[in-house]
Amino acid sequence: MVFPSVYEMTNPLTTVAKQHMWEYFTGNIISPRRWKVTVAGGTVSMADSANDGVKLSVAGVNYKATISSGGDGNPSARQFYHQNCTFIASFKFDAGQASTIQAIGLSNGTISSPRSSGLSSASISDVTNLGIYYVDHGDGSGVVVNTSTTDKVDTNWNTVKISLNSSSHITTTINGNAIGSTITTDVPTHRMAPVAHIDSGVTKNMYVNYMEVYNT
Amino acid sequence: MTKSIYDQLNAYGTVAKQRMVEDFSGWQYDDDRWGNVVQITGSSGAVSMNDTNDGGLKVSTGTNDEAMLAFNDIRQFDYTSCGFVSVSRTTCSNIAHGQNRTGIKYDNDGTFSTGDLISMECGYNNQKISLFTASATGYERTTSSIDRDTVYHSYKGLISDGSATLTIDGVLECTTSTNLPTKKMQPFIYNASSSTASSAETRYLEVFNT
Repeated sequence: MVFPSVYEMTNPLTTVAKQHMWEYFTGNIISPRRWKVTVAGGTVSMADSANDGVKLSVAGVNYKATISSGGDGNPSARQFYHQNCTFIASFKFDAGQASTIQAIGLSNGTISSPRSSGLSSASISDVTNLGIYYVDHGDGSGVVVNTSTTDKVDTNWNTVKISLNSSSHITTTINGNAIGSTITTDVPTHRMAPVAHIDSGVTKNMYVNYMEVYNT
Repeated sequence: MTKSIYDQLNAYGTVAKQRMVEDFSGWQYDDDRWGNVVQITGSSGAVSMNDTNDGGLKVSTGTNDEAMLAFNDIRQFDYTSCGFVSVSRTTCSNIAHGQNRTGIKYDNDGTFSTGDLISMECGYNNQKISLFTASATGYERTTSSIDRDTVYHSYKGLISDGSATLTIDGVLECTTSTNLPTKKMQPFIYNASSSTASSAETRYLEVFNT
């Protein structure tokens, strides 16, 4: 089937499309207009290697690197619902280590880890060498809850899909397989933007070669 | 499953033509792709990303001003066979005080009635959302059956075989063969305000040659 437009690949014209972004992370630099890059000692660069997209790197105590399309408050653009929204990303985490946090997903806080207290968040993470995925979820008040799964983190390329339904309940898959159970508490209450974050005391690299978010 | 976007948009053996897809997501508008806002009347025209659900990009103007955003006269679209798909709206609480046109146009300026363009048009004194076409010989406003409003609609405009059409929310509403453009064109978003400030909000725009 040949579609007459990109629009009609995902929506019939009878449907007024909602916000939908997709990013392949190719090119000379990450687009500074689309992505707010926030680093503390870390770096964000395009990877000069096959399939590796954008690379978030850190190399020392309290080094951090974050990308988000939501801006930094001056201005901000958080255009995705806390309900009825889907996030997809292909990513590659680095090997776990005691001081390392790697996270990717949706958050209304856009220049820091989506695990930071007080945020509306729906993301996944790998922390402190525990070797399993966490589903991070916050309702904008108090700590972001980190719900453990039994699914092991590896250093391969993986695809995460985070779906928020009409009650903000969160379901998460890795490579098409559900991880954890549906999250029904401490769910987001604020519109959000996609974010990827790494924080480590030692040299670590996190890669992302695809990200897509859409309201449904 | 077809893995190639190319193959999903072009029949086998077809050489693809120019296409532009803009999802208006991100914390700042892409001023590498788009030029600076063009102040047509007054100086209040501004462009920014909308920090709201589904907000896309907004081109706003203060009272009695008009402004537009385009490609700074980089014109890659063929007036004989091209089209656009947009999802857009005008925000003006008094719809008679604001006007949005989104489409494809020759000049990066306020030449509309004798310009070269095809666009949707919503607002001002025209009670119906319309297809607006123009060339050096004049303009044509072809009205649809849909009353002007402030909600988002999907618009698809096409020029083909000497005719222009506008489909609104999936329904073919307007057809004309009068005053079609005769020059190469660029994507544009235009907003005008009379006695109430307003914005043209767009969360998707695709322009293509066929």
